[in-house]
Amino acid sequence: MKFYRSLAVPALIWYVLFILGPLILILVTSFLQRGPYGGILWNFQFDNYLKLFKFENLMIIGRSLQLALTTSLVATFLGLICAWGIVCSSGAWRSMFLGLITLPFLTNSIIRIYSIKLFVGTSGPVPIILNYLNLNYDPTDWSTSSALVMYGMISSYLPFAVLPIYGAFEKIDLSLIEAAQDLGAKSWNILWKVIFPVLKPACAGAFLLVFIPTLGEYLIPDLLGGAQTTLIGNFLTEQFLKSRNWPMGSAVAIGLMVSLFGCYFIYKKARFKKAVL
Amino acid sequence: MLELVDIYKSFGGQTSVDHLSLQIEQGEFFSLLGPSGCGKTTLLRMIAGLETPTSGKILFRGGEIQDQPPQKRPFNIVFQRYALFPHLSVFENVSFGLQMRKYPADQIRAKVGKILEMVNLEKFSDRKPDTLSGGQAQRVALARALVNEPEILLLDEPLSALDQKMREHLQIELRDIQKSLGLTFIHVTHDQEEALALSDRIGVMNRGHLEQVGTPEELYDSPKTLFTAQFVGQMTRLRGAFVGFEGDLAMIRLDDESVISGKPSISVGNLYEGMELDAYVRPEKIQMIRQASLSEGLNCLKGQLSQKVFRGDQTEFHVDLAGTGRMRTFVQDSKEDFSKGSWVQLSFAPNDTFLFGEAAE
Repeated sequence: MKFYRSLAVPALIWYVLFILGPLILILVTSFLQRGPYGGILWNFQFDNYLKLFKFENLMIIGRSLQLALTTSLVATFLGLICAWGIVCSSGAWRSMFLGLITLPFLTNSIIRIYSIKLFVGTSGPVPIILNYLNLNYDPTDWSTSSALVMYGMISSYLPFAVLPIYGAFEKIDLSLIEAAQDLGAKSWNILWKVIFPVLKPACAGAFLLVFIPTLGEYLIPDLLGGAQTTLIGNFLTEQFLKSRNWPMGSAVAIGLMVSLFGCYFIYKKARFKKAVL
Repeated sequence: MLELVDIYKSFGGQTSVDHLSLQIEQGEFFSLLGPSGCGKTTLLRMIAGLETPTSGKILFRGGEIQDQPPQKRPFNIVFQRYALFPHLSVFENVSFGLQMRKYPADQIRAKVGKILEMVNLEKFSDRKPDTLSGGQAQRVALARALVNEPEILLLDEPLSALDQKMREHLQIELRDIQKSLGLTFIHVTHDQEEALALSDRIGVMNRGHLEQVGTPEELYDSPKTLFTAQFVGQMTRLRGAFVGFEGDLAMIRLDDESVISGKPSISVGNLYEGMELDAYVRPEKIQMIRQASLSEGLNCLKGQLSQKVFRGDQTEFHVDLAGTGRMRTFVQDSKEDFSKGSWVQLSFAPNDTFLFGEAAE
């Protein structure tokens, strides 16, 4: 037993050096002060956290939350639909759909985002078709809108929603549906009273899996939104890279992390309670 | 009450149920018994409406129902793996069928309460299925089906996932419920002991067809086919050649020239001298004694004890018969000292000896 446990030591070293260490550094930095030329002054204070609650910063947080919530909701809904499609298909079709869903994972995100831009941009197929149909569409207007940001976010994070729901779907015991039929349930009742409730935990998981990364996402709003709106992610990178205000950036990072942990905790608790009842 | 007429079912060219006909009477506990893959579960699912027969008719009280969906049939099924809804409490699970049929809330509460009391689960009504033991979950599944007052209750290997003690306990409970409600039960099982203990009648299934239908006693005491003889209860076998008749009984000569007689099965067909026959005897019907003594009208064979297996309530002995094979016998609570290597005499009645031909498979 001792021998096998000793094999876990490299993992422990990794956790301490590359996860716990940087985390502590960020935590400490978040309580320090920015130097006049971008360095760090060792003055312990809470100013950075208090600044988080300034109006313009609260606006940033609010905007980010709104975007992340909408994205996760839409992605979860689409995830449910896509998973349904995959489950209903069989054999080669099923593998093809699964492959298509996971395809974005295999592409570099910058390439993916630019291709979205090209797709809807001035010379892309979307404006050509829409103009041909005589629909009022201005690609320069559209290509910087928040709708495009949302579209980019959803298409990038949809796999995170599809896969857990698909997994839960596949595991549904067919005899549950047969039992419901046997007990007199019609198709719609089976859907509402049996299939959806059984999928609910997986949907909550999918929601969370999309919500966590989208809340801190900065690349997509930057590239697709034309850097016009600041979100938490942009604000964070700005603090570190442009304003050289590391203590403030650290405070934002810690704040983001704590609130995401909060979400996860609520999710866990809700699931746990369900199991006990 | 329920009549299956020439039911045929195939899955992708693979025959599962092969032109099977069967009648089930009101109020009887009927078991479909057979090895896995014999088509018994498919047959039950066709009765429930979860599968449609490829051809053939299912008649219920004279009306054809083979094309009706399961929702329309007045039957309910208890699944092997319970199939309880994991997100619903015990109460909600049991009330599901009544809710689907839009019963008023107070009636639902009364009916569910009564049925939970019957299966001793009234204290568990708020629990979720994953907090129940296997036996409790199975009783919930039973209550969920029974609360709808089905004309026929279908049971798909309901006890196979339970341990021995719980299984025996629930067997008695099932039987009691069936008798007290006067319901018709159709029960699928591969466990011959369970089928013998529970059923009014048993249909032995093999490769999609019925081998024999009869009461447990009939199947046990006069199996019509070799399959039934081997599948229901235990058998020990001797090989010999047909020599002639003695009344209804056929005589065969074993390799050591000794002659025994037994009941020839119908499936053997016409007998001719020298035809190879197998004699099957149930081990517990064989008497084993130390001293040789000829008993009139019994088959008597001499042999040497080669193996002794202690089984608690009884001891199993293997006896080598010089040159003719080996027989098994059970002895309960023996006073005599049977030690390995000692010579014994085995005797058994011709009426307990079943003769089957090799082709009777």
